[in-house]
Amino acid sequence: MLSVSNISKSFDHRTVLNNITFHVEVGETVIIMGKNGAGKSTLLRIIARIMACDKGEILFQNNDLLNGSPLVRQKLLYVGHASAMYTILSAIENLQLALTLRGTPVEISRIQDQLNYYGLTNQSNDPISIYSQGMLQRLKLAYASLASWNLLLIDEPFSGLDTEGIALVNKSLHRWKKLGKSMMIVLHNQSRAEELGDRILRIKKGLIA
Amino acid sequence: MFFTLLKKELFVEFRSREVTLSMLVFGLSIILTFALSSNVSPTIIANYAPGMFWIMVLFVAVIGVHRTFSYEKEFDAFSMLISAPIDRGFIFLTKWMSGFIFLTIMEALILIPFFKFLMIDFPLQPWIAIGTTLLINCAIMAIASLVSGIAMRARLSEVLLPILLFPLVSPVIIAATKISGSIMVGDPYSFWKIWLLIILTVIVIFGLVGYTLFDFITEE
Repeated sequence: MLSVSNISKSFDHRTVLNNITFHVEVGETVIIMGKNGAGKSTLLRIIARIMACDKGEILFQNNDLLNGSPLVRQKLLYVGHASAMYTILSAIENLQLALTLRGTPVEISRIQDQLNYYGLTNQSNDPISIYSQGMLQRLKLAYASLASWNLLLIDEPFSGLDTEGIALVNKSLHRWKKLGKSMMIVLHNQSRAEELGDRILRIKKGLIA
Repeated sequence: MFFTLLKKELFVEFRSREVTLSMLVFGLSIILTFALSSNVSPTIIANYAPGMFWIMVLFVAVIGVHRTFSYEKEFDAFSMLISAPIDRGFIFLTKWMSGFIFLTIMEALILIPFFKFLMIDFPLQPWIAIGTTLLINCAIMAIASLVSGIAMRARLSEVLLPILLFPLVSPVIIAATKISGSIMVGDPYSFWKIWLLIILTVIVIFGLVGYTLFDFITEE
């Protein structure tokens, strides 16, 4: 599914990732752990091609992700720390735009169903600038539920959520796992990582420990 | 995909009106400053008017293009665009096109106050003036969109943008001033043809460079 070879990245001469190599198989859930600043989010952003790496190669479904056509990214979904949506637009407008850009537009009724599932029905037409951290996290999950993907890169999906929100994330991640989808999840909680992951990658001093 | 992205640019601006309003207020302030501070004969004003106009347009374009890129940074919205499976060159083309539309709207709104406050006559060949103005807007926004894309990831992007943009855009402003000055006094086409060719060259070069390089410059 995903093959990452010798990926390195430095910021101001400080090496964050040093020759990182690993594979993700079809249907596998890989948890990325490490201290703050270890390079977990950087690794996900490099795979999503939001950030450039200094060297290395990434193959996704046997296609060159770094130098290949943009269509190679079609079945790769990145859900980061920030919502990656426009503050002036509503949840429905943002989801419509994001899904159209991915080449898989969805009817409004389906978007509303997902927003309802994630508890955002009453705010679905409000600009997302007024959303709390937890609401934005739920919106990102609604996006992941609506988008078509084979590999999900998700960064700290539990942060900023209340108990009900945590249960929703857990349920969604387990559902996707059951469906045989591949995921790379950045987590800090050890017990949650053991529960969700098929494999745990720990990044320490730029290397996989 | 191009039209989806362009629709997004226009819709976001239609909702917020931040770009056009800030451009308009700034443009009108500059016109008033020029009009109230200069105490010279109408002939001298008419000579300097094209230069004053294009300098004002340049300042206003900087404000506009900075705003269109800075809202991409809020909530990391730009990640939605660049992680999508689309040709990133389209992002540049839509930024360029929307910037061109906003700049043209702003000029349409401030053109009459500009001529009235500075008490200068309208050009003798209005359609030629409009046509060349559209081409010049296109050239300014091609450079501004590319430079803004480069500067947006920098820490001091609001400072870096004019520092990078002004030297690059100065040939366009000189050519624009020469073209507008010639049209104002009714010079024949052969007098300002060379300046128009410079504008067209800038559009082609920066359009192609922006489309090709945007894939690389948008990554962090």
